Amino acid sequence: MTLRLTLAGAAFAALLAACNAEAPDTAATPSEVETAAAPAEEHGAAVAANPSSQEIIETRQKHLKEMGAAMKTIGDNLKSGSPSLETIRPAVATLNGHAPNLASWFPAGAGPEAGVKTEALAKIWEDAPGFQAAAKRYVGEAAKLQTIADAGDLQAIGPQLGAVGAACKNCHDTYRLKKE
Amino acid sequence: LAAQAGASPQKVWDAPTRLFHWLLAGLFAFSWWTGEEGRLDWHRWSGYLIAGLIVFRIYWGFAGPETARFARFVRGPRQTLAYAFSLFRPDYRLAFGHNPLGALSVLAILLALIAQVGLGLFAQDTDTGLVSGPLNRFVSYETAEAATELHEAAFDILMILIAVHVAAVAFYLVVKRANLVGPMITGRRRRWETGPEGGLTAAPLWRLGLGVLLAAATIWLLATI
Repeated sequence: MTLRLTLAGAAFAALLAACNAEAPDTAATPSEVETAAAPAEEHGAAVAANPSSQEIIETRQKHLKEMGAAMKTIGDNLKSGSPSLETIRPAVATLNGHAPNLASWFPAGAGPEAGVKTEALAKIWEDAPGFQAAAKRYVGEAAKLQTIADAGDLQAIGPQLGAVGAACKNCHDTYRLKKE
Repeated sequence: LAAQAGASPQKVWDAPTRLFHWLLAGLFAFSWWTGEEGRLDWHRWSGYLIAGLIVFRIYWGFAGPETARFARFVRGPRQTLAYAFSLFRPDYRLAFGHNPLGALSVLAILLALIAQVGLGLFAQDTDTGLVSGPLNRFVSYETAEAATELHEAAFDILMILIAVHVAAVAFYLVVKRANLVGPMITGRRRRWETGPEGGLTAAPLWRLGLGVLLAAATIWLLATI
């Protein structure tokens, strides 16, 4: 009886463990990492000269959170029933302003191998063209949002915000560590 | 080991309580899956439905039939300990409805679910930033981020509670030779010399109707905030 109970318990534990099997990929080989090295000079504000991996990752997380907060600001404003361009425009500027720098926040060495807590998967560097394409899609959608906000077209903001969100998710689905 | 069970079936769980149980189990699994897969549009709906179920179950704990009522199955520490010690005595009798230990499980799971759904209302979608909980827009990004993290942590607590629940059901099946799953499906069990002779008396239909209305109003409210 005890054995049967133990087996049942073990089976259930295995079932529970299955949802935790989301281990990050192994680190990229140096040659693969090289291909993803993006020019860091274009955007002085984003990454300082020779920053440590920790600084790079912390700055990246800060920027991505600013973008998340900007998405929330616009979404909340639209849902409030009285959307205002004064609220929306600065948030759009954040989303579009960060866009061209996005890919450069992921220089070689700033992945899981850095030893800093990050949800960036090694796949970013292993599949550099795919990652660049995902970043580019975001750049395009954010630029469209900027155009709409500049024109003051409140009706078009919502649908385009959805397109920006889909571009975020597109990249997260492949290149960000899934929570257990 | 176990008491002799009679041949005639005895009604122990009413249909609304059974339906609540299995809908909750199904929706919990669905919420787990949609949460993992980032299908937050479905995840949000699943949460609204679970909120409706919780409201119904709390109401049913006061308005439902005997075995659904909190006052009927929640016991103090002394009686709970007495039940635990009686488990391996020869005169052990399977409880009619929730036993005092099972009552703790019911309360713990209900409370954890309330916390989980409550946090989910404020949680945010960290993939697109757009499919967030219905109350997310009333709190700051940082508050919502904390709620999201707690929402994920509370899930682990729920999984532990559910593991204990399933282990307890397995214990009764293997050690006590009592199948608890069957009665939760059919509503009936073999007699165990406990509970009223005629089995469970169902609650009046109007009370059930009021509970369904309460649940529907909860879901509607959450979906339209």
